[in-house]
Amino acid sequence: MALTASRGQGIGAFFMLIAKRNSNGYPVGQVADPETISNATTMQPYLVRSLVNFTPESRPLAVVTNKGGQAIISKTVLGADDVGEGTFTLSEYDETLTALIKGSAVDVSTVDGWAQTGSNINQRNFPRFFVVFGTRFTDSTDGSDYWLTDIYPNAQIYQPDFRSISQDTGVNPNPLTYNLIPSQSTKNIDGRNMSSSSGLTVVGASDMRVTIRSRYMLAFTSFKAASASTTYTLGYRPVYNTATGNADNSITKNGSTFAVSSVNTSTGAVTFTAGSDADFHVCVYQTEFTAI
Amino acid sequence: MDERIGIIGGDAPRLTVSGQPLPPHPFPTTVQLHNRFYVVVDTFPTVDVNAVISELERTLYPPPSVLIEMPEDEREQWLAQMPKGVETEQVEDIMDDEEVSADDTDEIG
Repeated sequence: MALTASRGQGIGAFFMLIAKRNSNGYPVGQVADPETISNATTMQPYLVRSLVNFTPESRPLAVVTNKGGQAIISKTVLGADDVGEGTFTLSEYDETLTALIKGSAVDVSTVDGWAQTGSNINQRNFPRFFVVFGTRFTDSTDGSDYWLTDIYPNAQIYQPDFRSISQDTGVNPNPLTYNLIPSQSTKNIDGRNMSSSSGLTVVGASDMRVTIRSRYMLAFTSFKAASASTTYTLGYRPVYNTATGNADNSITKNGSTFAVSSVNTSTGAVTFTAGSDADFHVCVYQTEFTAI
Repeated sequence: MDERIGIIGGDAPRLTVSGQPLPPHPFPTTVQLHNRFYVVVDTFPTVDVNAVISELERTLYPPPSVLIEMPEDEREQWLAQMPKGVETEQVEDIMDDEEVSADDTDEIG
């Protein structure tokens, strides 16, 4: 059902999704090399459930003051002058997330029975990610509940302080804080290009943060097809089986809306007519994160 | 079947491409093989993933003796996706020979 513009209050820090971003601007899950992906590959983001809080980046504006005759004649806002860093806090030490953002690995093979993660102090290349934060939203116009999903389509993450230990007790005695550095992207998380004249209508057809309100939480799956491919599987059960590509679930192929044959709410299977090698599919779907 | 290969819509593999225990669901990266099977790729692989997948894919190809007995259209589909090599050439040679002998028979008949 189509939504209309509304207002309300965001409540709580529920989840975070993270996926690598390739040079074409698509989310590519957790693949080792975003630029070298085999055809017929399905990619899921990494779900983080230990989110404690998220503070967005600050955006100081360039402002010019016209002052003469001992009076302020005018002030003019010129636009963003800088973009700061966002921060988020997790309650858990997460080996997979740590290795993903550090461009490193969780080594479980060198010594059987160990899982090793390095600090990677000499890291110079910081991977680029799609980073998604989910919060509840209570609509004050009709009293119903939605979800707000804040999406950073091009962000780098670093961990300024390492995991501490302490004698403290209580809730989250040793939280971990991460910094998020957003950049602009011409592509949204659904694979579509942003536009300055339609849709999101953002200046320069580019942005660094998009917020989506929906009835259920949003998750996404990417699929790089082979010419014979006719199906891929979502990471979680979708709430809706709508297959048109532009209602309830967003489904695209190579950045354009793509109507598929079916979306199965039990198995998560998305079936479609075969296309070409390297077609890039992205499905952003509403879910309750029920496992398949 | 190799423990690293699962069936789409059926049994999951037992191990990742690197031979490690499977990660929790949903599997982060999977690669389909012949639209019927799949493998789970490690987030931090310790092997040459493409080489291992090619090798695993090879184990799923029907052997020449089975290919020869298949209906022609099904055999052609398999041959189209199999890498050219000794096995495909062997099947194509046998099929060519059979076509020739069938033509000969027609002429005699």
